[in-house]
Amino acid sequence: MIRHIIVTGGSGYIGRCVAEAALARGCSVTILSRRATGLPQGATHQAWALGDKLPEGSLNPAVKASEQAIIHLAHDWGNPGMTADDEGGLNRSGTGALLASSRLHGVGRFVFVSSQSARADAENIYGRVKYAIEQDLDHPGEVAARVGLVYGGPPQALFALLVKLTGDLPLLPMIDPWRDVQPIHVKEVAEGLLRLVDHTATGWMGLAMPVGISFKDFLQTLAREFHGKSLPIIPIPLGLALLGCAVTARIRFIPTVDRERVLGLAGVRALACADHLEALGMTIMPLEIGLRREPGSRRAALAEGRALLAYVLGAPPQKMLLRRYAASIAAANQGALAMSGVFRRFPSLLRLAEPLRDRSPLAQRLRLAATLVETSPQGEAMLAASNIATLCVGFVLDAVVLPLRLFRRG
Amino acid sequence: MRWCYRCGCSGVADVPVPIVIIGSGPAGISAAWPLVEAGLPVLMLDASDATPLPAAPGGTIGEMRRGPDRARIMFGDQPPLPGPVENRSPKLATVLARAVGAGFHDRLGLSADGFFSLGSLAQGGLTNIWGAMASPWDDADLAPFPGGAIAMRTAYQRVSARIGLGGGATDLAAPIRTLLRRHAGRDDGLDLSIASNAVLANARDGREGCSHCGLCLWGCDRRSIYNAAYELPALQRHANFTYRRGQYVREILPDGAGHRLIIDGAEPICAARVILAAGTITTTALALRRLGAFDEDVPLLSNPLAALATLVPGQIGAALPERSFSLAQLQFGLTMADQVRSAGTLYAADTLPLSVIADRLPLSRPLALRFVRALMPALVLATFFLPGSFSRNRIRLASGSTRRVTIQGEQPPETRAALRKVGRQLGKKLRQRGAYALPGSLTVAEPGTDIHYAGTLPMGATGRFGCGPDGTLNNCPNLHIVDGACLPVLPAQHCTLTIMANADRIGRELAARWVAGG
Repeated sequence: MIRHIIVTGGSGYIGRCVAEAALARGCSVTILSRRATGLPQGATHQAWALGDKLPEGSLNPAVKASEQAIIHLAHDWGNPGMTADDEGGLNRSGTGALLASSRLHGVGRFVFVSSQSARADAENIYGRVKYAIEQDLDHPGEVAARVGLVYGGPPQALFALLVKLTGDLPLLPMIDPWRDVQPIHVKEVAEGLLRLVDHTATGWMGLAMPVGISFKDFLQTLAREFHGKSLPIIPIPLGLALLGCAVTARIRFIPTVDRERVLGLAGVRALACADHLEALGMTIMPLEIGLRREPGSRRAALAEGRALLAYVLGAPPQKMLLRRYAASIAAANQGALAMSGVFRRFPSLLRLAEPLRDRSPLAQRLRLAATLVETSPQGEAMLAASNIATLCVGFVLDAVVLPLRLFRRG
Repeated sequence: MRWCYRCGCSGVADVPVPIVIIGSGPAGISAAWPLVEAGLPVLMLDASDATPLPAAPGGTIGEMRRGPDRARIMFGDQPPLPGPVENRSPKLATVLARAVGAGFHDRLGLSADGFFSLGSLAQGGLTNIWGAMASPWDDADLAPFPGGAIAMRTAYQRVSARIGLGGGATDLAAPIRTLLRRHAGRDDGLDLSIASNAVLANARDGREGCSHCGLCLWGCDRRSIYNAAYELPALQRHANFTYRRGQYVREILPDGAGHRLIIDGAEPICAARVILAAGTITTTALALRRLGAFDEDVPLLSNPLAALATLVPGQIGAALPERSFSLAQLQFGLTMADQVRSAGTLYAADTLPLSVIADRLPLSRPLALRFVRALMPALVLATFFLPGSFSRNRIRLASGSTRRVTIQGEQPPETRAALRKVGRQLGKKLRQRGAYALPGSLTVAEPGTDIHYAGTLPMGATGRFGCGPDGTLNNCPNLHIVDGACLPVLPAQHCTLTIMANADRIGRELAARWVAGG
């Protein structure tokens, strides 16, 4: 049983989450990073950079070395390695240094966090470097974790980019949008790594949703759950995408898309990890469920509520009403609907879109909004103030938009 | 009087309990009174736990409408969910109704298909959410009862005097007043009168008279609306009455000339005589189990129900009232040309959520809300029933270890047609009285929505599924069925008062036998 865990890259996206999860289960945690900023409370810090050996104070003297583990997440993006004249650069040599001192101290477990793209012939440098490092883990107690597409938590790394892209862009050009990705929530990654720490597996283990979903579905789900919008995807050839990367790198004020990332996604292959998950006793939650636990999903529900409630009220809704709306959506285990941003800006236009069919999701949401409005002091004040003139205007408007509503699908 | 609650114990008082009543609902309480007053030792068991039901909100409907607590009163801690429009009475959508029905299905292992089933483990049973319509049945409908209408008339009087009738519909809503005024002198087959409700007009027995606060659906803080649980303290003042809650009777086994009650999580109880008043569905399940009648369909009567919304135009746009009465304000009977008799009740809509009507209108939501708000003061809602003979529901107890109870509801096309026909007739007659039916508002409810479940073990039936004049289940001496299950017929009428009267009648008969030394 591992009781002390050393995390490299412990202030990063996954690292911070791993450290928090380890602390929560009662392990002591030392974080190895350059700076002592952004560390979870309760963890100790040792200054360390990729290339250094294990610092003296990072092991817990109160715990046997065999009951301590290293989870190695640090990766140097500025110095990727795998150029013509090196064999993996700093990432590989640095990992080697860490590995050597880990073996020297008799540390019980070494978990190297690798990637779904790790392959000898990966298109991107990252995948080739990760693969090369995996080959160095040849002692018992050493294992690599190939992690799928990580999402959730405070948006960082690739997830942050995808959240931003799906939010900012009206449509998304994509290379091979039907290619499968295997998402996994960052908390599940942390859980999986900690289970791997207490497991005896060697070689590599996959941490990802065992059945992939198309990248297009991933992005559209993200767009809906976090931004309440539908996101048309335009398939584009890889060459054009790489050109796009080059262009975005040169223009300021637009999100930069990294060439390495594009290649990493384009070259990804299915990761057979069902057996691994079973061995670790884990099930991976569906993407929608994972996203709905995020503040981003609540923000999207609030934004939707703001539009629907404003439409029904004819005025901006008070905070309490918004909170009730979001609570109802959450209680129903649902997320935001994909809706045009026009309606969020001009809620009264929803009159054009309100379905006549009572079973459509939007009709259900509008009825919910109406129920909440009716049972709120703000709504009561609005209803008590409505008069024959407001009704007449309402009937005229309804009559005008009726043809549109009749011919609208769903 | 001492007796042993435990079975087979070697205690000094190893005597079976003389009379056990299962259920503290209207039937159980009504059967208990004559027995207790005659001095018989009675033990009443119910399945309620100590969790209190949600408190009545207090105040008035006007205060609730404007106040900050409205959402909390209406939804409790379960927020409303997006979903399809439901054909459910607003009475059953309250936090109180949810709490009253909580656990009933799971505990019994009940599933229903095409049938709205409801029951209660709470103290007082379903009277906690009773619509309180309490009018006696006609003599013709009482003819199949043992002793006929005469015996039942006396029982009605005793029960009515005990529970208190006549409050509530004393201050009618404006559109209902209009309707009643224009009804005067008409003789066209629609028999319209002020509803007889089990609601107090004046204070008595620690209950207060109805103040027309309009919050009836959310719980009556004045206890004006009758609830069987209100009678428990008075019963408990009798030394020969014992009440124990948290006793879910799972099975009634034969034990010599008496019975052995198997109770969830408690010692069995031996009883010389058992009065089964657990509510029609549970009572039927217990009886079928006692009879070993597994996988057999037993007819379950209910009153096919439909609803119609009508509008008294003069009241459109009026302000919603500060006070109202949200139970039935008028009751009516309607005899059709083919002699089918229907009956029902009229309600004012001024206390109801707008969504009851607004959800069904093909308008945009902003308009629907504002429009229905203007209509609400002018709306009169009608619900009406057909006799139970029009129902085709079946209840069965599965064999095997699950012992699940299933109810299969069926609304035959002729029943739907008959309901629609009554609805059209009613619409026409109400129109003549100044209330205009809203187009498309005639809604046929799912079977069981009336919650008048009855007649699974009718008195006078000679087969296995029936009972004798004193409710004795055929072939099971000293096991009496006194709730809706034993009703021999189910006319188009509210049945609770009749169930109570019949239970009172049986209780009195048993008490008389005891006094006579039987």
